[in-house]
Amino acid sequence: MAMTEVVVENVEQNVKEVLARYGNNPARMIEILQDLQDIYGYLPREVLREVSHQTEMPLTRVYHVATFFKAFTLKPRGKYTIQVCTGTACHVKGSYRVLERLEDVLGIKAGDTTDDLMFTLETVNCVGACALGPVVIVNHKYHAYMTPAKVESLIKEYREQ
Amino acid sequence: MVKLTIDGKEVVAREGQTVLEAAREAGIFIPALCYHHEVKPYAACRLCMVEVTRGKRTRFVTSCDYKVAEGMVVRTDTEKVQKCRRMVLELLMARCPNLPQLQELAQILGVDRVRFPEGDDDCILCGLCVRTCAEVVGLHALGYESRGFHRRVTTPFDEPSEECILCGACSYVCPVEVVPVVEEDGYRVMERWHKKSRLVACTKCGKFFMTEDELKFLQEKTGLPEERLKVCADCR
Repeated sequence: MAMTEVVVENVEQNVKEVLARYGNNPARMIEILQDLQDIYGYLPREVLREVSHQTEMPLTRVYHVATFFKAFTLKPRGKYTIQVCTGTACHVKGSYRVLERLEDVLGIKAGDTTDDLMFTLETVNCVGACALGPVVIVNHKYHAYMTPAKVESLIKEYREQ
Repeated sequence: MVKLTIDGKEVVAREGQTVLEAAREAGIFIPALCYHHEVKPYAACRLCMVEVTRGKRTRFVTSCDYKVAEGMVVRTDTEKVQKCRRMVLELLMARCPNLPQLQELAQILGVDRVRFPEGDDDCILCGLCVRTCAEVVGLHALGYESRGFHRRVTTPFDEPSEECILCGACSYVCPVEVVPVVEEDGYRVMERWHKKSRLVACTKCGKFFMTEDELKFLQEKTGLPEERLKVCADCR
């Protein structure tokens, strides 16, 4: 698979708009970065540099906030984020085998993104749906009672969408 | 003037002084790695823990950022305080097993073993380099990344910082000396921050004495002509 180029556009304008939403107040950095991550799917370097530039906050501070919270990612993410629950209940019901199968099918490890930027695979620890375990969540959609056998068709379904 | 007692000794301190400063002026030893009088206290290393009694209440505080108050009773030598410091040092030594400065402190404080799994870090995260860069030099080349186990001091994105002028203040202030500055072939190199800058020679004696980035920084800051800044301290 060829590495898909990520295009980061309208940085200046987008940052300006998001900052205006929060009264250009750098104390609201978390909300600012959240909104920007919604636009780009992740936090590109040039966006963080622009935030630093427009808020006059040192880049070191912006970078610290962006790396402090697990909710932020500085790497491009796939179109679909696949979260495999590895909480106690799902684990007991065999979620690790589902995860292994997903890693095989996608050719990536948990925490990584496929080169075609379709899928990001990650683990979460309990999503409060233990009765449905093993649970796999794809872009906020819950897939219950997952098994390794169901993985391939699930991926196929999203690839074709 | 504020009167307080430190280890049974009457001490007169200035208003707004910290317990650590008052104790050190009175000749009482309190260990500290993240303290430096040129920058704001940060209370990161936790080695300066003391026991403070005000009225009926006794508690543990970091003396580097705890202000003196009238009638305060401070103890720096109780068994509890020493135990606390030994634990803090033990944790630092587990994180950074190869720092002579920590071994030396271990001798003084009586830490003779480390019960925790050994890490392989060399930075104690005291933040002195970060704070010196920001507060003394006035630049923001260094900062933190991540949190918890993964927290570390670095330049944004681990790239050479555009702001860094290679002044070396971070190297000078590092209490465990893990930010080396090397000068070779007309360059000043700071490997830890992936940065190098060409050196400028003094126009009088010809010795290298500052980096091109420093010169530019000083020009912008002082507005003085280049010829005046390109003379080293010895020839000035």
